[in-house]
Amino acid sequence: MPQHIGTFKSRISIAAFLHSGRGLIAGRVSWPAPHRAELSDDSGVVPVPATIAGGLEAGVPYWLALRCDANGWTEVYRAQITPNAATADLFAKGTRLKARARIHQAVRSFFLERAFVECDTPVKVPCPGMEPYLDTFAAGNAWLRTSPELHMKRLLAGGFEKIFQFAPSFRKNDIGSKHREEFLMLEWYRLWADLDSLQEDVQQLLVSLADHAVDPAYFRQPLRVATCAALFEAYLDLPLRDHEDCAPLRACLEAKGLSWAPEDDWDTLFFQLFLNFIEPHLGYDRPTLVTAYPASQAALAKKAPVREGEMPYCFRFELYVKGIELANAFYEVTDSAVQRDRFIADQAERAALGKAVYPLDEPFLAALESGLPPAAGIALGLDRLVLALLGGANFDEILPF
Amino acid sequence: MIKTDQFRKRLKIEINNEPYVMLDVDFVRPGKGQGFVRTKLRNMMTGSITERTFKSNETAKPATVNDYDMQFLYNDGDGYTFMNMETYDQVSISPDVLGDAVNYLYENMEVSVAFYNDMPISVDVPNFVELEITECEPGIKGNSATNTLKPAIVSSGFRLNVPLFIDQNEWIRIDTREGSYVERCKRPEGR
Repeated sequence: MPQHIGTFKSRISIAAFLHSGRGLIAGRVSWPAPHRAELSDDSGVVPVPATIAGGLEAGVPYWLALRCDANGWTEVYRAQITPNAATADLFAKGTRLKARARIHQAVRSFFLERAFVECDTPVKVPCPGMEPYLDTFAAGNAWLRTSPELHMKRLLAGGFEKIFQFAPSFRKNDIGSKHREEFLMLEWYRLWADLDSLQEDVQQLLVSLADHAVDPAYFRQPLRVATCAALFEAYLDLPLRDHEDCAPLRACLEAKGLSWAPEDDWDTLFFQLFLNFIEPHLGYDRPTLVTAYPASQAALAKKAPVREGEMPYCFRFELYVKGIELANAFYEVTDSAVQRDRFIADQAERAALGKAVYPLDEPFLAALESGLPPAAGIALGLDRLVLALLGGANFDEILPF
Repeated sequence: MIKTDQFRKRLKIEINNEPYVMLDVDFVRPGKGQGFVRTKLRNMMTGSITERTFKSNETAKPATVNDYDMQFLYNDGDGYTFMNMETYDQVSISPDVLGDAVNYLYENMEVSVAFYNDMPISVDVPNFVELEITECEPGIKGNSATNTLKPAIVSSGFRLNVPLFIDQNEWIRIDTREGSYVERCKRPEGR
């Protein structure tokens, strides 16, 4: 076997070679036609010269390096590629995987250009997030985070004004065409901001990424904004006046031929209706924000003042793109006593569901106590955004592994 | 009972005493709250397709659907009688259950019948069947065009369009998925 140490130091890109006509190039050989071989790298493509191609087995892919100088072409390196279970998929998806990487780059640039600070926070945490229905993986005496939000809000309380993070996050048993147990969450937070600022961010982010999309015009449109109550009126003719009375929701499910169980609480009935009759319509003509969620689904969002005859709601929105739920935004709870009460209620609900009960995140509560001005934050499923931009139905199409 | 995490394509479940087969299964979690499994289901009796979400901890009752090879015997006006080729049991099947299959039946034809709780729910015929033309305008010799068509009736009573060169008492092959003429053929052996 020849040794090639140092050989490729003089390698130039195929794009550069197309200018100079001289030099050492290396890449992969493919066969667009039975007897026409092409050598390509990330920068460009050249036909394999006939003198070299004659020595290749037609139709077979190779790794190939060639030198072109005054004496003509010489072969420097050649190895047959035998795609197997480990690589066949990567070759097949190569174009989309590289497009995904460029989207990540564009997202990062978007935030850096707007003077956001990129941050990183612990993945293995003592308190992984309290939401009753999210589960995660134990990691020794700690847990893998379900989202970076609590640590990122500690950064806000510690004086960071605008932060973002590409955050690997974990959710046990969430497995589907658009769910993975390990996924990439894009979160960003702003001090001195409310949901209007985040809506503006979302709008600008989508516009800035439009050039990466299979259908750029879609992503350049102004967002549609609709409240939960308006959507229930529009698609189900069901006015939502509160988030406690199950009777109208049960009646609506029955009228639609769906069943309900006595133990289904108001929120579960709400989701049954939402998932079946509203979500399938959301964001197909243009990106859509769903706002004013029932106060019972506030999680870490501030609740709005209650008005007579209207469903109590919270300051939270979700972004839908082509039927895919992409992001969830909060006008954040900044009062530590309110936050503590919600955590305690979540703990009780987790216990009632027979799930692991996580300890209160005291450092986070202390951070709120030290003083946090108005702030807003949003978590966006980055893999879903890539899927929406590149077009596709399943994460398998855009993720390498 | 089958838990939602065991839901798969082609799984057969029972809802309101009717059997459904799963065409699509996907996990969804609304922004906040519990997870759901979104399914697309085909009613095996009516063929209609519906969508339904199950809560993640919900269960579904499995539906036992068995397929049997059966032979068509006769139509007595009340129904179509078939014989199970293993047990020789006979069963009468209504035109509703037969659906389009009724267009392609001939004596001693072998079909696959799906039974749910001992009740026939659907009949599958082969993708192609050969039937005799019993009624049509006389064939125009030499006209080999296949894009100009004329109406015809085959031995099962089914009406379809055939090329002009086809003549009465000739045999043709029919695509049962489209209900359309494929080609002229010889009388199959034993028919």
